[in-house]
Order: sequence, then C-alpha cells, then structure tokens
Amino acid sequence: MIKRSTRSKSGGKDNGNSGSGNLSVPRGHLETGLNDNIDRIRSEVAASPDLIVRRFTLRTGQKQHVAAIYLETITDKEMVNEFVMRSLMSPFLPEMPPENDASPEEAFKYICDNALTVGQVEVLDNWTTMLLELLTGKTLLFVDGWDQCISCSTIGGETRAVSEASTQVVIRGPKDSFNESLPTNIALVRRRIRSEKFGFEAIKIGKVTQTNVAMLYIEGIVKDEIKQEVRKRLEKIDTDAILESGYIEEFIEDNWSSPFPTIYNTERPDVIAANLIEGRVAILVDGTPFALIVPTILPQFFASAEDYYQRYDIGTFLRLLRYAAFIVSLFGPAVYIALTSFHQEMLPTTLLINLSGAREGVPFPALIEAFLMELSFEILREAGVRMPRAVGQAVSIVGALVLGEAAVQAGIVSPIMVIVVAITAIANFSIPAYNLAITARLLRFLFMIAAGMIGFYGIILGLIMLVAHMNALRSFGVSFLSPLVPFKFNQFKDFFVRLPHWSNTERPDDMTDNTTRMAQGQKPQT
Amino acid sequence: MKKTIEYIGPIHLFAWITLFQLGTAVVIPVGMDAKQDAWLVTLTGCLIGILFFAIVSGGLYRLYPSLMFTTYTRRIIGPFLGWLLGFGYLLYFMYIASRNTRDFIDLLTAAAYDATPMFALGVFMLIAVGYIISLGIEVYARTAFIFFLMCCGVFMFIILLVILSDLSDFHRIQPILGEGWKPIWKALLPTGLTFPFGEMIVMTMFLPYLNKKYKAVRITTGAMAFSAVLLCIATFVNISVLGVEIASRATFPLFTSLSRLRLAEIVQRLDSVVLFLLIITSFFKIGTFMFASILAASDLFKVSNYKTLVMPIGVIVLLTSLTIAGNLTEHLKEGLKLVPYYMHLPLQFAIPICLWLIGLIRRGIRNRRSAASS
Repeated sequence: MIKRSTRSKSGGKDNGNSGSGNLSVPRGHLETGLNDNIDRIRSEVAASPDLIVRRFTLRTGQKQHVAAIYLETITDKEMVNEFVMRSLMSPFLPEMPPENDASPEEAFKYICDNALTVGQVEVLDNWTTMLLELLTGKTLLFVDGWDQCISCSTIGGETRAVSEASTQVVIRGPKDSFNESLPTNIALVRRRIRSEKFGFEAIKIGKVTQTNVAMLYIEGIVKDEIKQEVRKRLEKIDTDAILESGYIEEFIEDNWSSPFPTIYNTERPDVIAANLIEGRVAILVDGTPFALIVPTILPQFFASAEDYYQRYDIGTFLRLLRYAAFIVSLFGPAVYIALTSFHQEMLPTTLLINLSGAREGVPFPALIEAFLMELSFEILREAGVRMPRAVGQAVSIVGALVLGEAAVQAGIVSPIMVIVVAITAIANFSIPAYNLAITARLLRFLFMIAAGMIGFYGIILGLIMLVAHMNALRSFGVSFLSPLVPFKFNQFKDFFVRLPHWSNTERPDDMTDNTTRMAQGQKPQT
Repeated sequence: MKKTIEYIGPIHLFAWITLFQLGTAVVIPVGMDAKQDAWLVTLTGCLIGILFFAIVSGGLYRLYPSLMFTTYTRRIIGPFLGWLLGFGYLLYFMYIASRNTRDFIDLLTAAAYDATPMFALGVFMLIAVGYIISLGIEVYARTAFIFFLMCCGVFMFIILLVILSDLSDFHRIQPILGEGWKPIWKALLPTGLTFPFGEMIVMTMFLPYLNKKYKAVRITTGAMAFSAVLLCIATFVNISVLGVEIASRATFPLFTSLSRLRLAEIVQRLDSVVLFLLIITSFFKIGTFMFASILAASDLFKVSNYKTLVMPIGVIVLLTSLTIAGNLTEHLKEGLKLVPYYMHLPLQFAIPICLWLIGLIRRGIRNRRSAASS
C-alpha cells in the first residue's frame, strides 16, 4: 500500500524512472522561494495533518520571511518552542550587521551562526535528505529567497521507559533492558563501556521505513575482517522495511536452511557489553529492544548473564543442567518411543512390567501416542502465549485436562507418556535462549519419527547427522561448535563450566587477535 | 566470507582413524581363535600394521604428499596401467564399503532388529553416510572427532564399571602364551593382519587433505596404536567377565559381557551402550570406505565436484551390500576364507609395496638425471 501510493505521487512529480517505487528517488535541489518549498513539502508528505508550518519574520528589524516546518507527532514540542522558536524571536538577539536590508544569504548565515540554541544543527540543500530529516522528527528552517535549509535536531515522540528485561530474567544482575529507541539503547551500552575505543557506525536500511541500524564494536579488540563482513552484509540488504532485528537476522545469517540460529539476540545491555568486550559485533535496530550479536557460537545459547554474576560453582552447575535439559528436550520422547516399541529388553524388568501394564489399554503405537501428546502440548503452549491475559486461566484448566489424569483415564495415553511430555516441556523451558529452545522443539519431532521407524538406530543416525550439520555451520567465519571443534582447550574455562573470573585470562581467539583479558595470577591468596 | 580450502586437523585425523579402526572390530572379536591371547593378536597385528603403514604408505605419502593414492598410481606406473590400478582400488573400496554395510546390517539384525528388513536398515545408514559426506571432508573429520570423544567416554565408563563390579576376574586372562606363539600366528594370518589394521590403506586417500604443517605418519600410527589399546581393553573386558569359553563362542562378546555387568541395581542392561558403539564406529567405517571410493571415482573420471557422486555410489554400495551374499553364512565364509587371501593381502600389502619400490626407483633415476644434467 505504502509503496504504491508513494510511487504514483513521486512518479507524477519527478521523472519517475527509478522503477523501484521507493521514497528515495532523486529529487534534486531545494527551491529558492519559501512558498514553493512549503507547497512542495506539503505535497511530498501526502498532506499530513501533523505537518506544522510556522511562518514568521526575524525580530531584529529585518523583513526576512522565515518558516519552521516539523511533524508534530514525532518532534519534541518543548524543544521546538524553547530552542527554535523562542531563540529566533527573541528580542535580545544581537544585531544583524547590514541594518535592515540583509540579503537572504546573510539572514540564513545569521540564523545559523547566532540565533539557534539547539545542540545539533545541519545545513541541507537537497530534497532527499531534507525530507528524511523531516520524517525523523527534525525541525527545518527555511529563509525566503535562499535554497538551503537548516535542520535542527528536535527528535521526540513517545518511547517506552527503560524497564526490566522480560525474556532474559536474572535474579542478581542489572535490571535494565533495551527499549524501542535506538539512542536510548546505545546510551545503555555506552554507559557500561566508557572507552574511547567504543566504535559505533550507523546505516539506514529499508527503503520505505529508513530504519536506523547501528553497528557496535570495540576498536582494537574486534577483528577487522569480521567488522567488514558485518558491514558488507548489512549494506547488501535491499528491502522496503526493517521492523525488527529478526528481519536483518534472516538477511545476514550464514545458513538460511539450518534449524539452528547462528545469530544470538538479547535485550540485555550487559550481555551486549560483555560480548563487545570479547570482540563481537552488536547490531542494534531502531524500533525493537532485541539486538543481534555476531559471530555466535553454540555455548552462548546456554549461558545466562547470571552465570557471571553468581558464584562460579553454581554457574557451572546451572550451565551443565541447561545442556542436559537441551538433550532431554531433544531426545526425551524419542527415547521413550524407541524403548517401548523396539528395545524393551533394555529396560529393567520391574520398570518394563510397569510400563507394559500402563500401556495395556492404549490403542495407539507409541509413536502416535507421543505425537498426540506432544502436539497437544504445543497447541496448549501456543494458546498460552497468544491468549489475552484475561482468559489465561481457562488455558491452565483445560490444559490440565488434556495433559493429565483425564487423558490417561480415557485410555488415550499412558501415564508415563504424560510424564515424558511434562519433563520434555520443562526441560525446554529451562534453555535460556528462546530461539534455541524452538530448534529443540522442532528437531524433537524429527527424532520421534526416526525413533518410531527404527528405534535407537534411528536416533543415533539422527544424532550423527545433527552433529555433522552443526559442524558445517559457521557464523561470520567462526565455527558454530567452537571451542569444541576446532578444539581449543584453553577456552573450555567458559564453555560447559564457568571458572572464576580471575582464571579466565584470555579472550577467545575466534573474534579477536588481542587475547589478553587480564593479568595472570590474580587468584586470591588464602 | 571467502570459502577456505578444506583440510583436516591433526586431532581430527587421529579421531577419525581411531573410530575407523574400532569399526565393527570392537564388537566382533578379533583373533578369538587364540583364546586368552587374543589381545596379543591385536597387538601384533597393530605392530605389523604400524610398521607397514609407516614404511610403505608413509613412504608413498612422502613421495607424493599432495596426491591421493589413485592419483599417484598413475605417476608411478604410467597413465594407463595406473588408471586401471586406480580403478581396481575404486572397485575394492566400494566392495569393502558394501561388505562393511552388510556386516553391520547382520550385526544389527542379530543384536536388536530381527524383524526389520535389511533394506530398511541399510538405506537409513547410507542416507546418513551420504549426507555427512556431502557436507565435505572437513565436516566429516570434525564430526568423527566429537563422536571419538563420546566413544572415549563410553570406554572409560565400561572400564570403571568392570573395575567396580565384582563380576570380572582378571585371572581369566592367564596363562599368557600358554601354548606358545603358534595360535597367535594362526589367528594373525591373514584375518588378524588385514582386519582392521591392514585396511588403513584406505586412509592414503585422505592424507593429502591433512594440514601440511603436521606429521601424517606420526598421527596415523599413533591413532592405530591407540585403537589397538582400546581393542585390547575390549578383549580384556570380555575375557575377564565371561571367561575364555563363553567369550570365544559368543557372537558379540561385548554385548554379552555388558549385559551381565551391573552396579547396585541402578546401572544395568548396558547393551544399549554397545549398540551405540557399534553404530557409531560402523558408521565411520562405512563412511570412510564410501568417501574413499567417491574421491577415487571423482579423481579417475575427472568429476570436479565429488559431492555429485554421493548418490550414485551410495546406491551401488547399498545394492551390492544386499546382493553380495544370500545369507549370513555365505557372507562370513566369503569374508573369512576368500576375501582376505584374494583381495586384502594383495591390495593392502603386495601392490603398495610394489608401488613404493617402483616409486623409489623412479625418484632415484630422476634425481640422478637431474644431478647429471646440472
């Protein structure tokens, strides 16, 4: 819709040979006459009612006509009034050198140099950038008879306050998280890394949305080729809209056909800071609290920020627990299917008797039984996420019926199946990265099918293929399974385990050549 | 990012060779004819295998470090004969791949899948093998490394279990050399020699992919020695848990011995562990032979992208493995009585030795010529 309306308009006005129908068609130089400029802006922004044009004359005895133009919905009105209007109309302004009959150029220079109390001011002379500035919330100042304009940074509008992270919760650790405003998010990171090496590049992606995307890194730590690769991939994106970092993720990831995410995302500024210091590059997108981190390796998905804030022993334990949970959520139902339908002899006798007794009345083979339960659980979970809060209770009541005693008594499933589904689900919830948890959810069904066809043999073959696939994955030139493959034993200090901070003296050398993190021998003396 | 050339890291090659050597050998007993001294058969076979590989195959590798076996046959004995010999090796590798697949299918049928058709068992294996080969040699070696770690873990677990449970009795291994060296030589020639250590000839297809910084011969022989140690451990476990009589009569002694081991009624029925070992090691064995035949075929027929050959060679291996023998007895008879004498001994030992000698002579001539001309 947006695309088409824009195209017909600009096509009529300009030569319209761009063909792609976006906003940034070449529009040429600004007009000289104030009224011509105003009329053209009015028609370019589709006569938006929030376009405010305020005409006035300079107070210092001049006859120059000046206009301030801004979109009131996305500007900070306080700033426009205080720092643009008032300063221009102030009676205390210094006198303009040529009394009474200054040329438009002199008046323009005068405003630029003397009359504005806004921090960031730019002189623009072409339509494309001028419109873009207007649409980002800046105030434009035009002087009659001069073909340049001044853009004053008065960006404002509503943003959500910085609040606690909702997806990556910690008990101990910083409680702030990103919001939808890019400047706020960069501020949150910059406040944590007070280094002059903190590098930050901004590019605009999306022809219609013109979304601001920022690339953050620390100069001197990040490898140049990684930085350049990220920049190259970002610049290659040619699309109409970037509404979330997920859009960018799909454009720049290494292997689109893999079920594994090869780009980590987080809404925690402390996680971003920690990763920047290890030499990674963060990509922040305006309009979403979720920032991307590249290159990504598998162990990142099993680490929670809290591992580093709590004591290392509990951090290690929890991390091992999460790996175990991932394995359970991946293989749980598959192993149940394999055991009940192929390898009864592998079960201890008493358990086998219990199991067959419980499964006696169940009319389905184990595979169908497991699929039924797993699918109904997935439906339940989806309902729980999307449902309006007010009716949330209904889901839990009905859920207990579907996945509980009632289903067992109806003879559809065995009680052990219910337990298997429950354990799998809980294990899945305990993976800290939601996108990896989704991977486990999907692959689980493949393993269930493999187990249903040929039991453990299928599971092991599937495991080999899975590991091979993970070995083939790379994220911006770094092996996904690093530091296991290629084998780097000194990086195991922060892999399955987390050793104390003083022992982890080196940065992983995948992302950086500058591997010295701290001085050796800081172990506390006892 | 720019595509780097595929290469195998030293530790990955080590893992790959170990898994390759363990393939089926860990489940099927090697040299059980020698009773208590079966482990000596493994060790002697390994020693001879290491010497042979270090001198002959390693010598060929030193002559042509960046070429595959089927490529340097043409350099050594001329384009036509060399091509024919390479083709012979292609057939040999494919045949051994299908023999191994058949071995594996029969093992699986006997171990757990008596009701599943052979075709299904084979087809799933070859799909998985084909998939991992199509991901490239680097991924293959790296995957082998991860499963090597797992297998080491399994072995450690088994050893721990044997030590902790009171079922095992290490006196059952005695007497050592009770009947002298005779039974050992009998078991060694030719089966103990050709399987699994003679089969190392297939690794000459992959050595050019090793990162040149590292010493190929040292890694390969080290891996052979390591796998021999693991195989000896398996034999020790079998004999100490089951006793010589049962161990030498059981079809899969490791299955039997592990199903007897138990620890405080919690850890029991460990056959699944052996099943895991069997599938993993056989997978890499079949995969290695199939990969070698794919590389050989792409080299002989000038196929630039070897990944296109995965499908045709996979189908050939699958069909051959199913039609190679009418039943298990026929298959085993061929495997023990015919193949070692008519295929393994000449192709694993005789021809490489000849090639090595000719290669050395040719190099000597070339050196002398260049010395004379300069």
